[in-house]
Amino acid sequence: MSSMIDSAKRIVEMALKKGAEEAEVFIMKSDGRGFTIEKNSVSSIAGGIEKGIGIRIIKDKKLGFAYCTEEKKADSALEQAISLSKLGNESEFTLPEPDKIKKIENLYDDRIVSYDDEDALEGTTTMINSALEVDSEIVITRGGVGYGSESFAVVNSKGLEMEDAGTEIYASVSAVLKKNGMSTGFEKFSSRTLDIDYHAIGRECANLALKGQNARKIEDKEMTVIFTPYALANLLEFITAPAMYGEAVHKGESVYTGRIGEQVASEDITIIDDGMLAGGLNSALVDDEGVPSKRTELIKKGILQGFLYSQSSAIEFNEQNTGNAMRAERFGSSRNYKSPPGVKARNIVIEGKTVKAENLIKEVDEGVLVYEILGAHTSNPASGDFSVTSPILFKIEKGEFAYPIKSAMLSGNFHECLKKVEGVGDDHKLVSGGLTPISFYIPSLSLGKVRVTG
Amino acid sequence: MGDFLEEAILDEGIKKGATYCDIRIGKVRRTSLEVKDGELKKASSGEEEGAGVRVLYNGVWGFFTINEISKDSLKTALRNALDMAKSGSSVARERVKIGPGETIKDNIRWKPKIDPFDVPIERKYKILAEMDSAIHEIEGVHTVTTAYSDGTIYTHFLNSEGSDIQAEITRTLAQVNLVAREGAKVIGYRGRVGGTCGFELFDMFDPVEKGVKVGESAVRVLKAKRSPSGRFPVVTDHDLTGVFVHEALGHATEGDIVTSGDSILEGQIGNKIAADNITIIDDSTLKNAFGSYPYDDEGVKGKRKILIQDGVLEGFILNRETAHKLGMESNGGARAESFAARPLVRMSNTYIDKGDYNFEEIFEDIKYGIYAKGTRGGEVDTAKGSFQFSAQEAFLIEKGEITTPLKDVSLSGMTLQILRNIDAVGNDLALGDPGFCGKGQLVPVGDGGPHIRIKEAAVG
Repeated sequence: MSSMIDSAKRIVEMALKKGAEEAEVFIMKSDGRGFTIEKNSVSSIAGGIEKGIGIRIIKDKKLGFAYCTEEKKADSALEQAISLSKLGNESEFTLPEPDKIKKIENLYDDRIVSYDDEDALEGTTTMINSALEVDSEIVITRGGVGYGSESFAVVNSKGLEMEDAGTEIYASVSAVLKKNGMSTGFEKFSSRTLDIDYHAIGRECANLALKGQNARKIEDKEMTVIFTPYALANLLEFITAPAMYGEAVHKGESVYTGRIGEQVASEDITIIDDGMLAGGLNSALVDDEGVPSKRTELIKKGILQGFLYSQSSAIEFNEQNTGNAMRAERFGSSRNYKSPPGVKARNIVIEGKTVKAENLIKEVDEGVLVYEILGAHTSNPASGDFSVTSPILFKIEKGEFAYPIKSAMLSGNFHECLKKVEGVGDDHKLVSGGLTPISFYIPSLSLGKVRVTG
Repeated sequence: MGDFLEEAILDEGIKKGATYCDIRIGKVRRTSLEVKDGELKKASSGEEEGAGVRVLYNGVWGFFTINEISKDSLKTALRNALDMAKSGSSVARERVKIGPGETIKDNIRWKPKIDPFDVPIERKYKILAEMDSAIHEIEGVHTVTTAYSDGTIYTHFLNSEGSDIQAEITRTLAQVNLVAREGAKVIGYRGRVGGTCGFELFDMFDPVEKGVKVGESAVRVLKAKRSPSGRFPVVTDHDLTGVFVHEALGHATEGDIVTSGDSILEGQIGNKIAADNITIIDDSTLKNAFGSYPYDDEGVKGKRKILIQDGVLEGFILNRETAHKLGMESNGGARAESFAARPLVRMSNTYIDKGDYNFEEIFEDIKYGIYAKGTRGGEVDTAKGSFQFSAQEAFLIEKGEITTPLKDVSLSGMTLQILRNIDAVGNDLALGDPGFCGKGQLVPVGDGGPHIRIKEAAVG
């Protein structure tokens, strides 16, 4: 039995002694390193060990939550949780029962735990050099490498005792090339196992910057847009995912309210939320309430199938718990013991009949290929309307790459765009969320008619 | 901690070869509540504490954070920070240096008039309950989620140059996220009041009034026509001017962006980059503003920084490292999300200073344009200077008059073009809604300005 489980059990006992009917303790510990690159050089290395405890109690059928950083402060946190619980409304909420878990592959890699500072430094150097080999005038302005492990335990008074640990390594680089005008490039990588190719990351980033040279302006027009996985993830994170949350659906806040069984997207795509995705960036044995992770079909061949629930929304709306309880702050990309559980998508996966990603443009008479978008978080999640700026995009004419574009605005309705899928690439990538823990395993998608303003 | 433990750690850092060393000990106490459609959904409270130790060794930073404050843990943090910086310095191509810093000893508390800690939780809840029921009165508003939070942030900063600063500040915030619905049409909206102050926030800003305004504008937008897209003259209100200046200029003036070669403003100091009537300021000393702080996270006093004066780029936002690289002086721009993160260069409260146009004059010359109000945020690519920002609602301007309501719009532009395109600046300076700015770490910021007129911007 681990020390985290032991500690959590002691705090649960304490809560029951103080008169709580039910109690749940979440303990989290993370240990990581981050290497910062500025202007072609490593400038800073940061690391740390963080741990904390989140306590949820039910007393007189009312919920209270408090947190602290050490077990010796749990007593005072419990008092706070109990005092807060007096404020609330009585509810039918009850903590989840223990349930069977299934093993998930590729979430933990000992090689990441024992990864050395020297290894990571060699990696950052390789990344920078590989970019400079593409063009010596490239500047890797910003970027970095990070790796670490995170473990968590959930114990509740119903006898649930779960724990899991995971590892992750990530890298990112941004480049500027000032030659024939200025162009920029970027590349990112994230994985739960040590399969990072630093050379490829640096080279891809530099190639994108090089490809963006001699950019032109374009005319305002409606056209096909191919979103690469990073740009697509942004839109899915802020528009599609929130529309799939059970509570939003039941409260009529989502465009998908009352539409199960309806065709809401092109029959060429299937969208799944998979908390059990092997190697998924947001996969774990259980969610943040200790409920076994699940695979939930959201849209199957265009038909709306189901929504995402945590314990509280499953009880409130009499639905199946889909294992989507996540503890995160409103705009926090990492999980966090300080926040009570809310609902978040886990790994959003898009499947469909794929074509080679480089062939997607062949089907496009006139369109743009978009690598990066700015401002997806300003989209209206309820309506699906988006209006974003792309600083890295390319014009496609008659099935061929035509020229890089300086910058353009793209606007449309993303729910409508998903109905007009013109092609699904075979370039599935693991992408982590920008302002939430939601992660993705998605390809490039070619989507019909978006307004492009040059 | 006492017993001069921190000083001993700093001494040891220097003895082991660091050229500079600092410790930030933090204690943060927070309470938050969330009410949805009259029902309390979340009630949370807690305290976190910990420390971050930072060293500069042979031109590379090492930083290590812990959330247990003891002699052993601080020693471990120091050792790790040193080891990391040492290994980093073996491959670094450039050496970080820091500019001179003043040795400061201070113990400061921005004491709130009404300490939220002394306010009964029922009163905090009542704020949300009142917002909730008032907003629900508006026809067309479908669901209402309100949230309250307060936080008291204590920081003890010590460095190897003898600075020893204790500072405590309090921030209070209330916000609403609402959904308006008509048939199949749904939209979501947000509004906030907040400040670096205590519960007196609600004597200065009425959260109910704010919530009702947001609700009314959401319902108006629901029924509104789609905005024309293309290039038009645009007038922005306080909120939108704020997010515009934050995205279009602010980020590109952050010292670390400039020195890493990622800013379009690199090498532009002294150059005319904006219209004559434009003065832009970042001020971390503004009383009660959400992005204010007494000292930055390197122990440098917060300052009022002139970024653009009468159209000329005068300065950047700097920490000690970037100040040294640029041959300037730190102006207190180093901010970390918490003790657990290393400080980066960040904005505080950023605004366009007031001009001399009154409200009507700004509109009177516009034959056909867009009046955009409220903000849903924005984002920028500082290297290219291309940015996007979004309004909550808009109106058509026809022959100088504000006419038809339009759906929410987004605007986009290129920094160096659009700053020259501002041809009227209002005399009605105000800060907009408080916000949070994400740059890997999330920090509270304020932004604002008067109504301004942009000759031409892309609207979509």
